[in-house]
Amino acid sequence: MKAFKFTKLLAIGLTATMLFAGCSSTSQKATESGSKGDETKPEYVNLYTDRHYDSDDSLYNAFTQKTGIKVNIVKGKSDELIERLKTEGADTEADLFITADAGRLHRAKSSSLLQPVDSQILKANIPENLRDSENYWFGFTKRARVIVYAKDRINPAELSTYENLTNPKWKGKILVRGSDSIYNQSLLASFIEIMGEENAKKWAAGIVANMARAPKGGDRDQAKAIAAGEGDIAIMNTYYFGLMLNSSDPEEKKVTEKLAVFFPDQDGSGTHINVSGGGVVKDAKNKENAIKLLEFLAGEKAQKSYAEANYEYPVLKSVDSSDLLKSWGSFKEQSVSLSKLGELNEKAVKILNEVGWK
Amino acid sequence: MNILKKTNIKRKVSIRTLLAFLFIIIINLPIIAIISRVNFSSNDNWEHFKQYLLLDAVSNTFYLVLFTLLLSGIIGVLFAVIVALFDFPLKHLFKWVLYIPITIPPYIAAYVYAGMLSYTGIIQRLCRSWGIDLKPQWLDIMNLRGAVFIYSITLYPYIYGAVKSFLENHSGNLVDTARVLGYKPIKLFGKVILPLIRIPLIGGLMLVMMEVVSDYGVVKYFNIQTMSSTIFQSWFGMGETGVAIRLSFYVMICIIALQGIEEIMRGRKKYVIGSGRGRPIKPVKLKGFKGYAVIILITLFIGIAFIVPVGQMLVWAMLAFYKVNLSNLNQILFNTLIYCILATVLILALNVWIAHSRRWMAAKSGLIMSKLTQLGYSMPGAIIAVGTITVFVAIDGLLHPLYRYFDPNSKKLLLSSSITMLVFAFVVRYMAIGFNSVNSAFAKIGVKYNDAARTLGIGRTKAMMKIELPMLKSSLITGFILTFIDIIKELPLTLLLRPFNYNTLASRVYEYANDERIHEASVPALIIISLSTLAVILLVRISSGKGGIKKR
Repeated sequence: MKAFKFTKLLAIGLTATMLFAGCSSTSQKATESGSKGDETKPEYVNLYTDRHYDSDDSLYNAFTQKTGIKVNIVKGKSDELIERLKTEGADTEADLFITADAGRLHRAKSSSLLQPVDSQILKANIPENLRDSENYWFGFTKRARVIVYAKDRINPAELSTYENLTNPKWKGKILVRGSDSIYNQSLLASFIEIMGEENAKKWAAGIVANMARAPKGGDRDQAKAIAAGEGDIAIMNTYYFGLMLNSSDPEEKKVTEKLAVFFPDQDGSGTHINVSGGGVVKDAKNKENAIKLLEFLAGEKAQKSYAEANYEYPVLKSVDSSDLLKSWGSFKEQSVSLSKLGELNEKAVKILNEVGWK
Repeated sequence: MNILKKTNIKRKVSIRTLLAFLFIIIINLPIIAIISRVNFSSNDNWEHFKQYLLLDAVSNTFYLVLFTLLLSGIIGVLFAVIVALFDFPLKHLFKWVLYIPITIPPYIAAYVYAGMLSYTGIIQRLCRSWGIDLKPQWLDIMNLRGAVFIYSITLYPYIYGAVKSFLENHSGNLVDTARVLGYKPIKLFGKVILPLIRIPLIGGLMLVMMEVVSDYGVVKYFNIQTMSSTIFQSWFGMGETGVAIRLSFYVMICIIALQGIEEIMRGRKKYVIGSGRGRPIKPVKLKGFKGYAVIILITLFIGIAFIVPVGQMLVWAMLAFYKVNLSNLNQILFNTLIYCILATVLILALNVWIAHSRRWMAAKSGLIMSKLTQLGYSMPGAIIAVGTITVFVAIDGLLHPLYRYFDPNSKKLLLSSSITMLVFAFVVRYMAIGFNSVNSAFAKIGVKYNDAARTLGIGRTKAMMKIELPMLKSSLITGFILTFIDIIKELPLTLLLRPFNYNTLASRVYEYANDERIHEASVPALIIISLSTLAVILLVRISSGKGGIKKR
């Protein structure tokens, strides 16, 4: 009897779940096709993004409130999303692709996944070096990859350029994460563009020679390692330093306050920056809405939100950075066209492997 | 027995078998899609990989797997033997508590342990406040040894579970006989238990191995160059899938080869216990000191593997709670449970069918079939994900006319923008987890009940549903727990294959953890762990309550 009950239960469970699966996929369809039937059809834009901040979500909500356009989101890792876009081809549901690295944006462009956009707003709001030269993608926030040092052990007067970090006097002092970090790859790509492949390779080899320990962990772990005394200088993103200063862990805050930010290469080619940006998908079904969203993100309200919520630098000139970022001072940026970061990414990765940057 | 087997082989290929093979082909479609893209021509990227990355990747993977298997094997077998062979105070509690560390996703354990041991972590902080000066290197966990530790404490339950249930149910006469003959514990273990548990042990070790080989989270954070991290790096860094696909193909071949070797070695010395003849073991009572020693040992271990990391996460979660956006928590929970339960039920159902029909197959084709169900588990999740998208986009292309028939405005990518794709990918990836418990259960009871039912005029399938499934309830439940837990904590698949706006617990964890915000990530991670723990408690209760009594 019990036996019978069990199998019955299993069978019921199975059919129920199957039915449910059917329903959930059809109900999704129903809402979408139902919406098409309505007189005023609700507008929407489908977004593939590798940015995954809660503050972004509230920005999208604000966009919906302002325009009535609903933002549907798939969040994933940029390379996987690129792969998904490639596979889906012309049938893709995605309208807009957003990622936190200019190199990836370039890769999407060169894989013919994006289309050019002619928008006066975007052109006016976004500086030329922060968008694609042919308008396939647009950057809307900046991060700088800077030097962070221990205030008690390092005299900032000794710091100058990225290249200076390869000086043998820093042997065993430098902390930086692994070569699989896209931020390191883009940093090196910018050097290939500025100083040529040969010198860029020398730089990477020099950093490897000066490393305090085998690279590991994320950007935050590098700052913690300075605090622990494993090294004195870390190469890391301003963004993570901001996060640490506002950590929910008071100890982490305290430790971070003993560190400071230094913007390298101020007399030379400037501090390395990278952007988060987006481009309209080549086969977008809602191109107009996608452009509207891009314009919204480059607009004042969104730029303010980026600056305040996320320790990122806004690209819009009229919007100030957050007080924290301002307290680190203004700085001269690399003027390298960010498309180059994508073009040179592969070369950078190979150099990193060749010099043994793990 | 032998005669019966021979006549079985001669039997015609039944619909049952065909159906089983059809299932297997379907679940392997994504893998076929990937393999069909393998390109063996030598190009720059491949040469570069060979020159600079191959050695590290192979040797690190080798050591990682070897030492993880050793450590998790020792832990798993030790506790399984203790629990199965002995009675000690609080055994009924510890028996299932020892399963629980499996609920912590390895990459979360890695973040938590690294955080705890870091400069701002609890340990160094305490030492500093006491004036003890610790060298940071002493507490460094972000290396190969650390990864072995993390994998072992999160994955050993695969081995523990398999070995324990086997010992409990099937080794009674042999162990008792040996005890009567006066075997000392060490001899008993070496001569009787170890050979006996070989099959479940190897099954568990294989699962651990595949988890380690395909895992990406821990090795990425610790920056250890393994096959799987190299697969990702070559994919991301070089922007072409060629090297990545080729590597994952080789990894898969290696794993199949290993399993083949194991199968051949096992073939020579089969410890067959007459099916069903094994009887439950009679545990020996550990009195006084020994009993307490066991309790202390298990408590210490569970402390390290579960209580400490989860306690730390609780503290972090409380610190960062106000920063975590939980507005859609109901929806997220609902989404998570739906795909987990759907995929788990499907996996079990398919595995039941395959294991059921396998019994009437020639040994070799049965073996091939069982290996084919496990391919997905040996590949990194993200590779499976890409294969699955390829398959679903193609299916949507084929079915589009049909969609149009029902709804002229239908979009083309209907299935691939629904959770069907997500659930399917999980089935592909985790068939192996369910298969182990289901298949060994079916193999154990053999065909005699089915044959008997047949002589009474009941069809084989009906006999399986009515007679055998209820008999195998506890194995099925084990399969269910393991699969469910694996699915709820899996990340890469849920990340890439989600439909629009489909947030899950795993994706929330990723969003925070990837941003190096482990405090915030603790909140959804704890929910995952609680849900899995709940599953363990619930199902262990069911199986030990009703199932246990019934068996006797």
